[in-house]
Amino acid sequence: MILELDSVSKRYGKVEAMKEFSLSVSEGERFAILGPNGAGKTTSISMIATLLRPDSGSIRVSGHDVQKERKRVRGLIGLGPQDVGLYPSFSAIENLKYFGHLHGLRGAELERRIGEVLEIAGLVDEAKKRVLQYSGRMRRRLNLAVGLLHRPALLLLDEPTAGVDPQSRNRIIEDLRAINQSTGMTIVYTTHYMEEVETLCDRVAIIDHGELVVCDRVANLLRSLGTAVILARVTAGSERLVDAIRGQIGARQLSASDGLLQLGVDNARDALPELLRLADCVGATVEDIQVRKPSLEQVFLSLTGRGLRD
Amino acid sequence: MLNLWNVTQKDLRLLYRDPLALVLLIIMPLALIVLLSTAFSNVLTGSTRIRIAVVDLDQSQTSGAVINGMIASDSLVIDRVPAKGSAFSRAQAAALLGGGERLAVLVIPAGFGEALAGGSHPALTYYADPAQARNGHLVAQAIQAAFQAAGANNAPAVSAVNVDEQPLVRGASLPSVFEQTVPGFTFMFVFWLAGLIAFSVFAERRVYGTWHRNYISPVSPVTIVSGKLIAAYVIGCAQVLALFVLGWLVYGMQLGDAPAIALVIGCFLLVPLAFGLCVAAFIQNQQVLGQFMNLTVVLLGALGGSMVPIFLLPGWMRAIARFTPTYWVMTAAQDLMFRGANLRDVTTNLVVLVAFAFALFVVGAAKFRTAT
Ligand SMILES: Nc1ncnc2c1ncn2[C@@H]1O[C@H](COP(=O)(O)OP(=O)(O)O)[C@@H](O)[C@H]1O
Ligand SMILES: [Mg+2]
Repeated sequence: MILELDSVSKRYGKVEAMKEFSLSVSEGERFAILGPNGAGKTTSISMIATLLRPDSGSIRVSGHDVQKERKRVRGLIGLGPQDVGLYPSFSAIENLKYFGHLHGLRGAELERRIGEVLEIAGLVDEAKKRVLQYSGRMRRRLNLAVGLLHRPALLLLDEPTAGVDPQSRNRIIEDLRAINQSTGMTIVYTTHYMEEVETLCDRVAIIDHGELVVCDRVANLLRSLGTAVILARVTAGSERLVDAIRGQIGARQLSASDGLLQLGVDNARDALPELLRLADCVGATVEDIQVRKPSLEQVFLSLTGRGLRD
Repeated sequence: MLNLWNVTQKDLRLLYRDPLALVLLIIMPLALIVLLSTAFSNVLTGSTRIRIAVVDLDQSQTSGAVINGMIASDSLVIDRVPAKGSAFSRAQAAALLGGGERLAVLVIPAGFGEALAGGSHPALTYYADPAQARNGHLVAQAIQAAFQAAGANNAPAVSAVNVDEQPLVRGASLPSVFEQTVPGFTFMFVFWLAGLIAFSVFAERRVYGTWHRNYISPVSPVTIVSGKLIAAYVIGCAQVLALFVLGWLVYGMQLGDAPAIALVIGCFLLVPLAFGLCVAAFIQNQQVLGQFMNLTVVLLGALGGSMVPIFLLPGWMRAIARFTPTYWVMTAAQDLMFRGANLRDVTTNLVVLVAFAFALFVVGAAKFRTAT
């Protein structure tokens, strides 16, 4: 296991930012910590990155305790902080050189790696420009490049795709996949975009309000909803309909909030007519109905009773 | 060691590319030096008549005539000082010069009239204010001219009078305009180093977000902070060097015991450094930081003798001044520059400066550890 958290808790005054988190990540995985704003993502990453001390519990990176063997751990991790960490009056090369030096890289080896990560970040042509003149997107990519420079065993990224347009987001995700596949570097990253996690990650920890809601393979989580999810907008009598469904349809998962009914089923072809029939029976009004493939969005809704975008 | 150099280099580059550093450390003091020196020197050259004190130990007819001749001269204002006894000491001369408004004290020795009548060339003693060395030749010229004028009527051999120029005791002399303004404003504004250090820490933590990156690298936090301080020290040395060399080359400021001055300033520069650590540790708000530094720089400058020469401060302010590092570096530097002092004479100043730096460093480092 490259990363192990064992009942890690952290509070800021009254706010419990992490309640007894336990999870582990094995080498070479692409792992996501998924949760809405304020869920405790940055807190988790900072703790793993030795920037914060847990109140209780322990964290190990490649078997080294994050608290007792800080220096060792720091050599193993690379960090892409949520707020970009770059010197604005330096060029990309100057930034990379400096942080490379800090990690003991020098001379030809450093030059070579800088070339490599600039390539990955797509910044070769702008490498001599000062970061001051970079767009937000370029800064993020350079931020990632700095984190990669010393080839850490564990790459920690805090919301690398937040506030980036969808196209660049896809590129970053593809880059991360490529890095992981070509170097075998373990990637642990946080996000509040679920689609991303579905396309990139093997496993995910879903967190909300400082609680670890679930930690599992993405495929397992999706499978738990069945093969399809029925979404129905019910304008009247939704409680009656829910009660009726409970008795009648073999739903894997059922949740309702604000008149939006979500139903995970194994066989949508059978369940759909059944649902409409029941609505008719109990006198509920269904305005809109959709059948979708299961997604993490629905997993989150089914587990927390809330949409991730609330 | 290599790491420390890398960090120092990084911080040097950051400071070098920060226009604020250039403005605060070089442009501001330079502007004030030029402005105030010009203002002062206008006042000085405005009074074309040179004021000297004349002490007549001879009390002869000849000496009386010479003095009258001098009084009649256009270029001199003569304060006739009654002689007490037949001797005149340096201390008395220093007292007469003390206020700074007289440029010299001329002593006419006993037996002057007789010697002149006997055809010999008696020596006059001339105590000049060394702080006014640049005006010394004017004084000598004026005295010679006055003698000439007086001699035309009374004593034909008077033109051959030797003026024996005596350097004055240390402590009684005043700085010239540049010996005041150059070190004054240099030491005043170099305190902004503290602000620059604190700004830089603030920026790395709150604006650039680079603090965490540095912090989680295998390089120790002590190295990271030391690099910042060393960079600031180098910048501080460069600032002092630039302004002092300018004062020396362009304005003819005296450098006196230059190596000793370098040592004093080298120790003094530790104070803004340590102070910067304190400011960074205690003040976490950029606006408060800026205002605090503004206030500190002006207060230290005003109290410590940067803006107003220490001898002009009233007694109670001079007492307060001793609590500022600026006072200790100003007095040491000026003693070394033009009062003929050597390193041993300014040992106390050195010790006080290092003590200031040490105390601030201990407080700053302790707080900094807990604050970050
Ligand atoms: N330094 C702090 N002091 C007090 N509360 C904090 C601090 N940092 C984070 N929090 C709180 O802890 C919770 C988790 O924050 P964070 O880990 O930043 O969440 P996320 O990164 O998922 O948005 C939030 O409620 C946040 O307000
Ligand atoms: Mg966050």
